[in-house]
Amino acid sequence: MPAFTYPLAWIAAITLPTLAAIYFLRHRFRRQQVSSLLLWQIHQESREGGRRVEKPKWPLVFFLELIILALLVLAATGPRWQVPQTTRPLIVVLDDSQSMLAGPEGERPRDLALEKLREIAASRSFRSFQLIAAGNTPRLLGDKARHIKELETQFEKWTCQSPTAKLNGALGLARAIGHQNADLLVLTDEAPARPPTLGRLRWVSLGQPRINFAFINAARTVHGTEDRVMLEIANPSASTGTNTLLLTAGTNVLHRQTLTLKTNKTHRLTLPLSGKTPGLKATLGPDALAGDNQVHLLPPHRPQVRVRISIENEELNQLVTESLAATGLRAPKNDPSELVIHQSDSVPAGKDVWGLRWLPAPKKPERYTGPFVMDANHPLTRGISLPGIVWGGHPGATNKPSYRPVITAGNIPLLTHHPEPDGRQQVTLRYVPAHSTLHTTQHWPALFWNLLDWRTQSQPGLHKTNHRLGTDVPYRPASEHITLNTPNGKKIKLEAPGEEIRLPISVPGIYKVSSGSNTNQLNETFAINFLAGNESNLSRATTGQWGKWGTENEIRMEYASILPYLVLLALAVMVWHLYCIARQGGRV
Amino acid sequence: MTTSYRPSLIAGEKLGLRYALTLPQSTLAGQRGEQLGRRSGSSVDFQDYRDYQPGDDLRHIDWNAYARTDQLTVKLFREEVQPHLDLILDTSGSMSLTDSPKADALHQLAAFFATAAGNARCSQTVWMTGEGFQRVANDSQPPSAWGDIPLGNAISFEEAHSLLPPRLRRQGIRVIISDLFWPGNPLPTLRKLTEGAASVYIVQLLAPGDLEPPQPGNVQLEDSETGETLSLYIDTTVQEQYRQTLRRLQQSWDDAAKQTGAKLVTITAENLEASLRSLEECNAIEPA
Repeated sequence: MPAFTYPLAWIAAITLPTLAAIYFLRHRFRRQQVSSLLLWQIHQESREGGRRVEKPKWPLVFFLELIILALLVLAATGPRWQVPQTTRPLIVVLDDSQSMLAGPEGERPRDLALEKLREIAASRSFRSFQLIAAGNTPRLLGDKARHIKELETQFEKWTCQSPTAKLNGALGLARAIGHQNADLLVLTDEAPARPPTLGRLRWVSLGQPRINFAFINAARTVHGTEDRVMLEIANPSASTGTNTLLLTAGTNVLHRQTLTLKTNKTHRLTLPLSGKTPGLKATLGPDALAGDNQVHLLPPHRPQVRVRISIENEELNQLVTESLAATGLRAPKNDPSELVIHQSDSVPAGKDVWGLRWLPAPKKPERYTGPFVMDANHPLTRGISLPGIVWGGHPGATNKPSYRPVITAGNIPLLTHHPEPDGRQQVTLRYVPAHSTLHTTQHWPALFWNLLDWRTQSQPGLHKTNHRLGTDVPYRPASEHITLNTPNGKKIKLEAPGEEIRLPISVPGIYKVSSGSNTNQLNETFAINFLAGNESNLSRATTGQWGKWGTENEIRMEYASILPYLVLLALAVMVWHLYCIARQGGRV
Repeated sequence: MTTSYRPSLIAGEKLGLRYALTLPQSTLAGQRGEQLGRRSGSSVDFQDYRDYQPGDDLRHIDWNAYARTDQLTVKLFREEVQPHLDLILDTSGSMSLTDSPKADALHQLAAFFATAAGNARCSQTVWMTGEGFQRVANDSQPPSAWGDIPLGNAISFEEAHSLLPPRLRRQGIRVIISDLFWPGNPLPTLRKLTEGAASVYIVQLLAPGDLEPPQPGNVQLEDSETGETLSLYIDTTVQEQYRQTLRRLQQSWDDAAKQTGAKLVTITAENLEASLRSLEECNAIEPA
């Protein structure tokens, strides 16, 4: 498609209908009465051999004049045609977040973005097209296409179900693919943080601020034998709005409430529930974005660990027993053991048996008051801090090779961990309760909770039943073959080469996952909820364009003027016109 | 009479006062009148002698000749006749062409000839086309007293003649006023009209629109008699072909007129008074 240097010159195109009007008025059939058609019929018979004369057509000179005018008007606009050698690939970064689905059908940013892309493709030549969906992680929607029509199947993969749109990451991928030679186009619903200045980048935003209520947080947690539900609803719109919250368990309505929230205000609802309550469904009334109006909360997972305590010292045994009971994660049964707490030198026997070796107290324990060094990323140290405590440990203790220090007092290891090649974990604790104060603080049960929770992570199946869309859903299969049933009815077969995989989640809803043998199959259900406050906030959505695919000079180099050709063509048609006029004796 | 044409008759009557119809001496015939006829009569002009036959008027016996020859000889004198004009008007639709002075000119010409005939002491009969030829009411009176001459008949001159021909006076003068736009060979019709006539004048009355085709462009032509339409794109070539066709039509009438002893005169309706010179040139009229 050509570019026009002076598009205002199109105004001159009004001469075309004017010329047509002049000819129409001049050449329309004027009615004239004659004495007789005798003389005219003689003319017909002599010339056309009796053939009935058709209605006369517009004269040739009219069309010639029309062509001349059209060529001159076109020339006046300063048309420039893109030189084929200067075409570039176009890499399109498509915002894959849910906010692209906000609004009524046909006015959604996704619909407008597709329309815009087709418009751009029609107005300019590109060597190829490549689509990248910018969700949690950028992903290519397919191979390069030579023509925009070949992208239709790729457009269907652009589902806009992601809770976030990491456009910068996608742009990085686009630049890597394009080798700094491609034109980049971002189609989203928000303005860029900073208008693009570098690179051949155009940022097109097609959003519109709309009123939208949304679930921004939802949780169902274990609270003893009961469950506790927490829902957080926000109105991230630019004006006050009203909506209705409905919480149901199957067909039972547990809670109904009409919410009126001011701008950027949230409403939090906390409800105690019986642990036996089935899956919950919370919904909001229809608004601009449907995806954030519904959450599913399935009964939370209650994992337990079978722990054997092999400590002869009664006081110590009592301390350990009470500590384990405080976590709520210890199974009533001990066998087959999953964790053995012992004081022997040997490693507990058995497949999948972890060990916590509590080293016997030395004769002269040392009281350490710090500074303590903790591996903050270790599963055992989550939520633990050691300010002002006294840790009675072994003086001069050193760490064994392959043992990872978790808590040390200077260079004295207090808590270490050794992973076995078969996946089992062996933890070593140097702690003398009689010379310590840690077990009198809240950090002590937390340490044991961390230990048991770490152990539960290694159990087959899911660790949690309710997840946010966009977060990982780890799964330890009971066998190598996994079947995943998605909310949209698809059945996905997965292979698990390792011990734990991340389930491929793309849309919110309730999933079913199963693994294991036919006789001992592990079937579980989990919910994925769209909980993304940023995406639900449609007040920042806007419409606009930023950035260019090149400077004026660059574009000038890419486009060649076709004005001389148009003028030459117009002159040629003028000569033809003159010839026709002369042949007709000067009459039009 | 449509009042709008009454002024045309009066104008034609005034115009005709200056002229008299030219009478052909040799073949003139008619009722008893003031003009010398071609046969023997009772005028004072000597014509011939012949032998007396029983029943001849004794006053015409030439007694001098009887004395010389002892034969009864009768003197013949030329008869005195009143010549007659049969004015035949084509009142078909084409003679009342819209936006043209053709109808006015027809009325003026008819009144002109009738008045000129009166100046030549001719009696007159005015015929008009319709469902056959019919006489115009009060046609023996001066033109301003004539009855209606309805125009716009869909029946052509030729068809009207075949339905009911006019009862034309033998050895009379006949003037046909028409645009002559009808198909076919004009000779048969003209033979019937000229049969037994002393003289026949065919006055082809044309409007400017008949003489010149429309300007170039798209034109939808409508036949004034049948209402039939024809859409054409007219350019200079078509214009020229029209003129050639008109010339061919006039030529065919001219040829037919020569064969039948009639005289063809073409008159433009727009400029009637100036066109009268052509009538003088063909001896149809003369100054009174």
